Amino acid sequence: MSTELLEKCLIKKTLAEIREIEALDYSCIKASDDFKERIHKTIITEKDAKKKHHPRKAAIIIVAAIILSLSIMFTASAKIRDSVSKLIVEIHETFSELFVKSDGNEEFPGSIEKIYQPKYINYNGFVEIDRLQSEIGMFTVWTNGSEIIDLSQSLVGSHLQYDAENITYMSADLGDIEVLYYLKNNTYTVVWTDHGYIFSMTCDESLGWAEIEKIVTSLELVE
Amino acid sequence: MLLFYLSLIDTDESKDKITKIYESYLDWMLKIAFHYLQDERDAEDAVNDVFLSIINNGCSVPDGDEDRVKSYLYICIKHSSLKISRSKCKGKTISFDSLFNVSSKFDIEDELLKKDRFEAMLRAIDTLPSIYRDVLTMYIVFEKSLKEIADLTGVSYKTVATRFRRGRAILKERLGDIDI
Repeated sequence: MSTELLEKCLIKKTLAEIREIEALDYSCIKASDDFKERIHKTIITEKDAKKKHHPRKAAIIIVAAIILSLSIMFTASAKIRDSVSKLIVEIHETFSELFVKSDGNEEFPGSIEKIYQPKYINYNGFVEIDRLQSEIGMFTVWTNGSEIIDLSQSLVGSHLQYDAENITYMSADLGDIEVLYYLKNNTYTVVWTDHGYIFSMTCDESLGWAEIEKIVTSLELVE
Repeated sequence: MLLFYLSLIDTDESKDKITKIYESYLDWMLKIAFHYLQDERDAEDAVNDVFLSIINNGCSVPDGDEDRVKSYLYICIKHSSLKISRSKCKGKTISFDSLFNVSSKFDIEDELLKKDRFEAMLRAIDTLPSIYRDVLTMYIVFEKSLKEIADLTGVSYKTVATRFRRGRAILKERLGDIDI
């Protein structure tokens, strides 16, 4: 199936939805002067917020840096653990939640100060197509043209939320890493902890468990 | 009001684009948003959000015929409306059934019997839940990255990635040799 054909079909379907709505009588709906005035104010507010955003962000980073520096000074001998012992799953009515249960004695990074990526993925025909980094997480997407893999690196304090419908979590040992995973809609979701962070990977079932193990166990620090 | 939009935009080309959208589609956008929200003020909020997200994304509206522009704006407005509806209806039922319904009428054997691939593909897309289809449309037709789609529709990056994956998986399951 060609991409061109697919494009045509997607547009055709979207236009069909549009035509259905256009056929309805919404002739009374027009942009009012009040609406125009409100947009005017919204945009001014947006502009002001953008101007103020950078100094505030800088202040937060500075404070965070001070806190981190102090914690490093006072806990210099406390080694950040390479793996976290317990991933907890809570199943709610409409979603499930994964988080790390800590005994309070462990030290974990308070921000994404180091980025870990699977070394193996680069030798497996996958190319990075998207990346998003924030103070609380790192999200990367790869594809080899037919399959897609995404990996998130989150802080240990994060609570990851997933679907809960018809899902059974299972655990497995991949090398010396214990993972929790589930399979739904031909997609594996695999969650584990390593290097003081929580990692969550989703990939097509067709990738195969052996490949997943190689990816999970090949995390290395990105310079 | 147009002057305020234009003051946010750097290039002449981008100014032309947002001017055209404003002049040609403002009322149309409001009607689409009203259809989903059934409330004029909420519809205005949705359109406002779409204008800002388009501006913040460098006015990357597709060139070409009206159908493509409308399709692009429509997806942005629909998801902007959904976001507003969700925020207002926490704990209540949201009547966006058509966005999530998966039709069970698709029969791959019947489709294979049809020799027209276009029709088969159209039927497969027809049964794809709208939330998945919209992400695929933005990605394939309008060549938006997953992050851009997230920004334009107000949906989180991870949700967009998940919808992309699931939508693609469903299409592959139904069409086999599809190349996305």
